[in-house]
Amino acid sequence: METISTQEELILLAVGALHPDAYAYGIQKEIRQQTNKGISLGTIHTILYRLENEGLLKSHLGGSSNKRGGRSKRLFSLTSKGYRVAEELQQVRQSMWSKISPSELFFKA
Amino acid sequence: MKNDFQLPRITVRIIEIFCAERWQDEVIGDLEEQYSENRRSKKQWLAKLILVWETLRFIRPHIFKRPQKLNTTIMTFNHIKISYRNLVRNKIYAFINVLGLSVGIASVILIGIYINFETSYDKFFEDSERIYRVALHRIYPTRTKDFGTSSINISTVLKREYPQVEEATRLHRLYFQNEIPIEIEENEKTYIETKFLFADSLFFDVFSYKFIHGDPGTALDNSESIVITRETAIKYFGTDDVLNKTVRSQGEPLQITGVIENIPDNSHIHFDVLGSIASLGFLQNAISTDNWTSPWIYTYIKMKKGADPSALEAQFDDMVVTYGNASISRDIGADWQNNGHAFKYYLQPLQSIHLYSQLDVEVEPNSNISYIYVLTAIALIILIISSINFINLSIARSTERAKEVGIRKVMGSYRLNLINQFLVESIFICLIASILAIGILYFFIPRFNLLLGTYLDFSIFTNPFIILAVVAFIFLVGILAGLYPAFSISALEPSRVLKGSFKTSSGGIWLRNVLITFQFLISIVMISGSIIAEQQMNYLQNKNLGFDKDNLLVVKQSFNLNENYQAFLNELDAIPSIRATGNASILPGQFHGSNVFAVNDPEIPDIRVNACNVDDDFIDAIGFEIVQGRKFEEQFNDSLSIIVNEAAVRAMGVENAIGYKYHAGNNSGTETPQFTIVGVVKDYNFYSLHSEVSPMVIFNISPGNVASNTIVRINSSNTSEVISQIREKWESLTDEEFSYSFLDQDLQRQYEADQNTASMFDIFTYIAIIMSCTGLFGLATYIVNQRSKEMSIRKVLGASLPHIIAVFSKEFMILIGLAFIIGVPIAVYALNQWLANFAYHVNIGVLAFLLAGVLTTFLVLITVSYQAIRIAKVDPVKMLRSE
Repeated sequence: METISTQEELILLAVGALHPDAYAYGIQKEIRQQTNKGISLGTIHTILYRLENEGLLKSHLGGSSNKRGGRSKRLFSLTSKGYRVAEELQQVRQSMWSKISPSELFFKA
Repeated sequence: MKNDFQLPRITVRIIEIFCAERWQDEVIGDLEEQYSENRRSKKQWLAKLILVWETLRFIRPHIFKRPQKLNTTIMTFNHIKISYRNLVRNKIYAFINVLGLSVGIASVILIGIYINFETSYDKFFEDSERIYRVALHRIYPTRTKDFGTSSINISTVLKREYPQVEEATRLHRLYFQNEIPIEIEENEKTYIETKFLFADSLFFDVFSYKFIHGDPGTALDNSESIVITRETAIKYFGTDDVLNKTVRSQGEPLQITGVIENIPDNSHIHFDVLGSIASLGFLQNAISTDNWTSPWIYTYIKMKKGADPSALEAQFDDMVVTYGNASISRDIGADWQNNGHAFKYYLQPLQSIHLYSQLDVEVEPNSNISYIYVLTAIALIILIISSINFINLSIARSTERAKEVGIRKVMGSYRLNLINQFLVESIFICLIASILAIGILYFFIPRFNLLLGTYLDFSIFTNPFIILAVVAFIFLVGILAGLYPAFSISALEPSRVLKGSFKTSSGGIWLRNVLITFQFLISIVMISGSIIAEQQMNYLQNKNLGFDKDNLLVVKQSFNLNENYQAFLNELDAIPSIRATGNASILPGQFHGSNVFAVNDPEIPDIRVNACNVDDDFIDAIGFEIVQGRKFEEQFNDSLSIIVNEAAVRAMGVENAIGYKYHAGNNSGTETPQFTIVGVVKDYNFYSLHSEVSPMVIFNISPGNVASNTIVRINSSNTSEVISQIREKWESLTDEEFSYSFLDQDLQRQYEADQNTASMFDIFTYIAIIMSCTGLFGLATYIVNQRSKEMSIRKVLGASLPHIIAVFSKEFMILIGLAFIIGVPIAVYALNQWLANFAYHVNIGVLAFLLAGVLTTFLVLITVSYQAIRIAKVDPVKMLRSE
């Protein structure tokens, strides 16, 4: 199983969620909305390139807008490997979560 | 499309600096989008603060810049690939460039190794930087002489009276007897030792020789002790475990008290056997009489740490007066100082002796620092020639490369990239050349050693420091040679180049011509130099020395025959191919001792003379010419007769020297014989032609005595048969070993160092010429190619082949003429410097320079015409068809 950091996982998921319009600034906004946490654009770019390098994401240059001063954005999407990794992580979490019984953890002591 | 809220310029700049180019656009886009949204939804200052924060978060060059490094690597590999293709595409060019450079680099590395070796002398001794030799500048009333030796009593005084001297020791070499027989009783063999030195018991306190067996502290405490090297031990006994074994020399037993490691080649002292000076009677006598006038001993001192040698030197004059006055007054008179005598002692650092000391009495012949300078110059010249070839060919080829440069520039290449490309290319070629060079060296170092008698070792390449130096050197040469082409070619304008109007710039041609002239100049200087060196070597071999050195066999150690000697001579006389025999203590070419010569006339000044002893037949046998008086003859009792040479007569300042009497010996108290001059011999060169003939006195060997060397004049044919006949006679009369040599070969050995210099010069001359020619060949190829259309038109209009060749050669001829005019004075100057080493030398003639000029011209003509003919043979139609 491929392990990635929480931040990386978050961004990987955001790319999937925003498909087909996932680019760095959009991801930053999505994460802020979902978690109420700010991640800097620098960090997001770094992670995006890293994930792309590892083959979990692919990208192409996409449409521009006036707000960007006419500069194009790089649109990311999951590769099949990236999708599999996200799926695997989810399954692992689920199977482990199912073994945790809150009653034993908190009330037995 | 304009945004209402553009990013501040500073932000864009920061991103441009810290972010790889291919990501800049999207990153700046994201930042701007974020910023403009924030400006709309938030307060201005907050939006700006966020922007600052976000921008700063992009400053992480370890991530964003990394791929660009990868890019350089890829481009470097691409450059190497292109270089390789360029080499393969043009094989002549590649061959000349790579071979030329590799020969250049090999020469430089070889000379580097040689210089490294020559400058490493005696540094292996512990504390070698604190060891000094005490040398003597002896001033006589009419002349001076420089000795590496000093009085035997100096070392004890230095050690006892001068606290800054830690240790002092004495070393002696027998000069009158170069060959000492060593008998091994165990296996009944006799070896002739030529490297038998003598030292006192403190020798190993100064010099840290490695002992395999024995104790360095006590090894030479007894007079009959000897220390030998491992090699010698194995030669004598087949093992190095020979401690306390006994050998015999001239009847005396000698006990081996130490075995040391073989002495490294890079030392100015070499011995196979080291005996004790206590075994030499005349030295013991010099010690007991406190002799300060005879410089018989090498004195070495080790200074205390931090002691100032010049402060010690300053006290030497006082030392001579304080401790030596009694002895000097006894030997040369009490008012010796007023009569113009002086003993100026000084210190020579041990490490400098090999390269800087050329005194009259050295332990071994030393090298000379000027050789090192000359070789360094030669190495640089060869390197420059090969670099010039490289630059010239690059300039010549710039027309071809120009299109490539144009295309690259159109495709967006920066000038820096192009410079980079050409430098990588030249370093790449250098690298190939160096690999080849090391191969060449591996092959040639043993031959080089054989030819020049050096001790260089290829294994130096296992030394990491040397490897590093070689790699640095490769880069240096690569960059230096590639610099000009890199800058000139990369500066081309793509629009002009691609339109096809490009020609080599006039600046480029100018530089090319300067470089070619320089090459011709070197060729002319080196060719004329080697011609004159060759002439001088022939002169040394063929000059009339005042005797006939050919067909003269020398039988050594004749005294071993003792009472059988006369019988031996009689036997030899019976051999038909032997024409004459003679007996002498010292032969021309060997070291002659010297002494003061004063005759019974106060008007005639004392002179310093060399001396030897010969028998009645010797003068005829060797072929000396008597110009006055008579030679030694049997009918007279000549035991008190002497013969002097013309130089001695001149030094005495008399017309007729015959009849003057000489009172020998200055030891008071002993009966001294009185000799009479009976003849004058024509000057003959008993020393090498480096020096003038000096005064000589020839004594007679009294009947019944036998001296070391018997000369045998033989007929030139069937030499080996005569030798075996002589050997047979020898062996029938004695058990001692028969050893012989040829006088002409012995004499030739005096010029070994000169011959080596000349051979080395020859080798590098060939290299320089070949490299100049190959460079020229490559250049001619390109020039001819460039002007092929012009030549075709000339041909169509009726030009003949010689005319075409003339057109091409004209340019080069002018350059040769220029090189000749500049080169001749340089060569004359340098050669005069070299020839000044010889008292007898050839005159520098015009012939050598003419020959050099003609040879260079000839080589250029061949090279150029080969190319011209090649182009002239092509059908003009083919050349002119395409445009």
